[in-house]
Amino acid sequence: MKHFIIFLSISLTLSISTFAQDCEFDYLDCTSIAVGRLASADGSVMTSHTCDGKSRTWLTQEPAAKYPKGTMHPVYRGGRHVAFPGDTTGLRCTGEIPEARKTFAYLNTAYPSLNEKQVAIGETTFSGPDTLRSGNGIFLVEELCRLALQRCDNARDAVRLMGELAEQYGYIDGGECLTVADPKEVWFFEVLGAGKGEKGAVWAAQRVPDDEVAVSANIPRIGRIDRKDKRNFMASDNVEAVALKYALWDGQGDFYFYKAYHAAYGAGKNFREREWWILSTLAPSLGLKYEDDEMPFSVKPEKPVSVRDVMQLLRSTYEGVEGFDMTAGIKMDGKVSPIANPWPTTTYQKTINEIAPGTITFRRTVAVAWCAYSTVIQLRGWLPDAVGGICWPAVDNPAQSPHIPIFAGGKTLPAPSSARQTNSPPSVGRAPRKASTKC
Amino acid sequence: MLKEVEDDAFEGLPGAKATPEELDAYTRKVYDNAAARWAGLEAKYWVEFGRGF
Repeated sequence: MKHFIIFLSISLTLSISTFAQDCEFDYLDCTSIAVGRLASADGSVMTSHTCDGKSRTWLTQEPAAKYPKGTMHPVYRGGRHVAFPGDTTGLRCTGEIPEARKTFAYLNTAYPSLNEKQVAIGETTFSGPDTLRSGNGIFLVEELCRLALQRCDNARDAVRLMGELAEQYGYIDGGECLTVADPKEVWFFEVLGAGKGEKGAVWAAQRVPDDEVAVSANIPRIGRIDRKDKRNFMASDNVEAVALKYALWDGQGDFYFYKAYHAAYGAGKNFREREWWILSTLAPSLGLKYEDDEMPFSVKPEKPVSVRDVMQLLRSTYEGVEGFDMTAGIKMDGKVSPIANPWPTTTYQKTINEIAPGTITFRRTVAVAWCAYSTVIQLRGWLPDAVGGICWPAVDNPAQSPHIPIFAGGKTLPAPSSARQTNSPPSVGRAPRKASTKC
Repeated sequence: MLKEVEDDAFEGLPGAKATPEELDAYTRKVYDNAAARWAGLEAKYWVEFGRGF
């Protein structure tokens, strides 16, 4: 039985939130926190992901499989948006690659996240320069995740495979960071297209030090790439050449990946609120300031980090933090008003600011109302893979939804207990898009 | 509510010898517990505000 359904929303969507945000900040999708083995409270390696945007929330356990020689593996686009398992609305085959003879079981979230060998992946989008995005190829990043989890039993191989596939078959997505982990180590893998019309990819990967924590939040974080240090770095051969070709680097001085391939909104910085908040919360004595030009790639936490600490960080809304708390200025009778909430829509912000200019300055909180689902994944090398790997997903806004454990060795998921579903299928009156799933 | 659900979830995680069936049962137990708590929360909301979530 192929699909083991479904873990849909209990739906802790807390649509209670009267002023729920829209998904209106497309360039601010997703956050990932990665924790090294010696930085965690129990020796787990962790990765995580808030999938902030329009993605499906259903998930399935996909079983291991064997294939005869010569089998081809179809690659799709649109799989993140189908309404239920088996739905082909909007799904399109972009190409085929040779299938592996044997594939591992994996947890099929919108961005596939954990396999039976305790390999796990988180994700954030950083977009990168438009000039690099190409339509010549077959791979969106979620399909790279899927293949890595089907084929790899460690993070390093997963990074290498995704880089090779993107280069060989062409990467057609925007800039993406994947935080790739196994029970020993966790890597940042940052990938972009190789230029309009080009079939290929540019990518770099950096290992998070074992005793440190790193954060990715819609901006590339990898700086200098030391290719001689194979233990901690990997990269495509064209990283510098593509930057030169597209005038993203002048060839002078040291090459910094994030400076060449940064998202425009970063304005030269390699961080925004979320990286600063999480890193400074974990290592307060470093005195990291939001006004700084750069954040370190990773920090050594001053206290060991637990799974629940990561869950809590993904729920951050900066409440009580001066200059960042969006609720602080909305007052009634001298106190913060009951209608104040940390997830204001643009309309709400504009209305409040029209009444009292300057009341709300938008801050991108870690937890947002436009989150489809989030995961915290712990990998425990001292246990058998089936038990050691736990994905803790939550649906909708992570600040308003509990995490439920799903094990790397699990076979079935609970059936939905509610007819209500988030990200529901197209409603009446909206015709399904034409599907083209044949390759 | 979130804390209570997660307190329960972290309490008694399966050990090294757990079978796939036991792992699935644990997931189901936490999920059902969360669903039940959610239903209770919504019921209270109905009483207080005259509508559900």
